[in-house]
Amino acid sequence: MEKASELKVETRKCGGKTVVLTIHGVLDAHTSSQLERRIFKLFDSGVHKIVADLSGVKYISSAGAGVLISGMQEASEKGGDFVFVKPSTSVKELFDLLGLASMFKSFPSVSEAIAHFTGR
Amino acid sequence: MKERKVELVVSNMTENLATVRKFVMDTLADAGVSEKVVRKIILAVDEAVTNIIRHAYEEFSKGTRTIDIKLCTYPARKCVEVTLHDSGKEFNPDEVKTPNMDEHIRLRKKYGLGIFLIRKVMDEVNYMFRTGEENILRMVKYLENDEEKEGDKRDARD
Repeated sequence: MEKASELKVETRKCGGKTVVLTIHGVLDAHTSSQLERRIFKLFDSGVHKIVADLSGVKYISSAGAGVLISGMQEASEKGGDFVFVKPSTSVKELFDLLGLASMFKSFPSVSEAIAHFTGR
Repeated sequence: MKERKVELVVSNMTENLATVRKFVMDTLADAGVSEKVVRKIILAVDEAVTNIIRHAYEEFSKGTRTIDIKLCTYPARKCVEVTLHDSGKEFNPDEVKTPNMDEHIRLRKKYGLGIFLIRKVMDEVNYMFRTGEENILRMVKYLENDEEKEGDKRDARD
């Protein structure tokens, strides 16, 4: 059975002020605050360039979308960026429904997303 | 599609959302509803239960109130009907305006997209409130359109 609180977030620094967030599991009204805390902790530490690997997101609701949207806004306001890598079917379908599919920059691999920041 | 009439009662805790989603997924998969349609109905039910916990039951302590979810499939009408009952304060989705997405993003609103999504994925959304008793939210999804679209895509691939 799908367990409550089934969310795992790994962070990996990639030099400079870029961090890769690998998100596995469920982003719903129960778990999304965990991700929000992790993202805003990064902002507080001066990280404004975030690569979110969403290939392992099994399910996302509007609560999870709200966290990703606010992360993108905050990064943008601080002169950084918040980009997606391989958004899962659930993520793609939700952002399509919200009419926001074109709002996020999406990359097919983590290395290509990092290159977006480093310009390489 | 096979006929199913099942019911689940959960308490007002967001921890129970996983149980709710599994209940919808298992029931509809067993009834033969396509994966894509099941995903849409799961989203609608998740958003509706989340709204009940956050709004209708906002004044109540976690785990002290119940949400009753009835899930029925009707092969003859080719539809899935979900009815949610709660005893919280009145929460009428008809009074929720369609969100202005630009403003929503600019103001970084955390909530307010649930009803919009429910209306997007379900074909009928009706609400009833019995003062001092309960809120009843009824949502219907007609399978024909979505199933046909999926069939068309499969045909195009074959």
